[in-house]
Amino acid sequence: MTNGTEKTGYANIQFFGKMVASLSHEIKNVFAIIHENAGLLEDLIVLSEKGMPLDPERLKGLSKRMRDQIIRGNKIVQNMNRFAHSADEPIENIDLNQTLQLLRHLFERPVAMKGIVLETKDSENEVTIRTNPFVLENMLWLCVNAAMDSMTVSKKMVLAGEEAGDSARIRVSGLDAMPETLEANIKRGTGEMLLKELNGTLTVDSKTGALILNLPKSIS
Amino acid sequence: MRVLLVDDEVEFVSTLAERLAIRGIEATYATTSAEALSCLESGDFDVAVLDVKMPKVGGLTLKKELEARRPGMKFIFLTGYGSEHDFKAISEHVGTDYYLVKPVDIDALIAKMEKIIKPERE
Repeated sequence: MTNGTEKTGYANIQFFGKMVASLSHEIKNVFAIIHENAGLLEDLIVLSEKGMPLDPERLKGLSKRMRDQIIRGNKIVQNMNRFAHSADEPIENIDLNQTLQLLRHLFERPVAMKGIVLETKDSENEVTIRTNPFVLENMLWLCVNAAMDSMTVSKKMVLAGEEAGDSARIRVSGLDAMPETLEANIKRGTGEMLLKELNGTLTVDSKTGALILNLPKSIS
Repeated sequence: MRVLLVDDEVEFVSTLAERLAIRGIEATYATTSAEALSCLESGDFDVAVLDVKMPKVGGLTLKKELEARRPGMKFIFLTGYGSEHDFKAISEHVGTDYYLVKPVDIDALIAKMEKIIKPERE
């Protein structure tokens, strides 16, 4: 029989794999665009060799498009690197705003596949908590994934962190159809174990259409 | 040959359309399934080149909708996936003859399109 730690470990690997697959898919799109622009550049050169004038503005435009894609690709790789390093330490101090911004980038594509836009709302003051960054990221993915199925009309999901006395809260808002089983659905399987590792609790706020992850300021 | 290209990456699909036009192939592009369906109002297409993964409605679902409206239309699928596992999963749905992995070699795409719309030449 698989014990809890093994289950959590496997869930973390699955989450890591899902995110890397999504990011690598995005990188392939960047390569595909650069490839087409380079191909068009070659086509225009071939045409110019056959006598069609080559417009310098057109070349500048193509060059800019390729540069923009390289900037986009570089950003994806930077986020992928930050995500990979979030598994370095089991407990670390993290800035909630920065973590949520990273997660927005990570979750952007899978969320967009459902036609939903993901945004973050920074807290006014910096909120630092001491927690397991990777487990927190996995837990928030479970919340975002479940939240997507609880959005029928709404097409904007917002992640926001805030201080709440001795603890911190992360709100996943924008939900408009909240089944009574929502909390149980998230906790089922590995969600409950991830919450336990974070010493956190999960609540559903039907009035504001939000999932709220309550976390201690420090789990050590 | 009239081609309908559908991919949510506008820069990819617009550039590919221009490159096909340079080669004498009339290509119209759309970035969503809804746009693709409305393109049918402006005429018929011999072949549709569809991205498998797109927001809301993916290429496999779009194929069914296009097919229902234009029964003779042929399809080729594009995907960013590249692993053996992904290749098997997608080709189970569409067959390996109708599937290309991004980045796409334009000559390979044209060869596939010609083969699919003129199979009798084989």
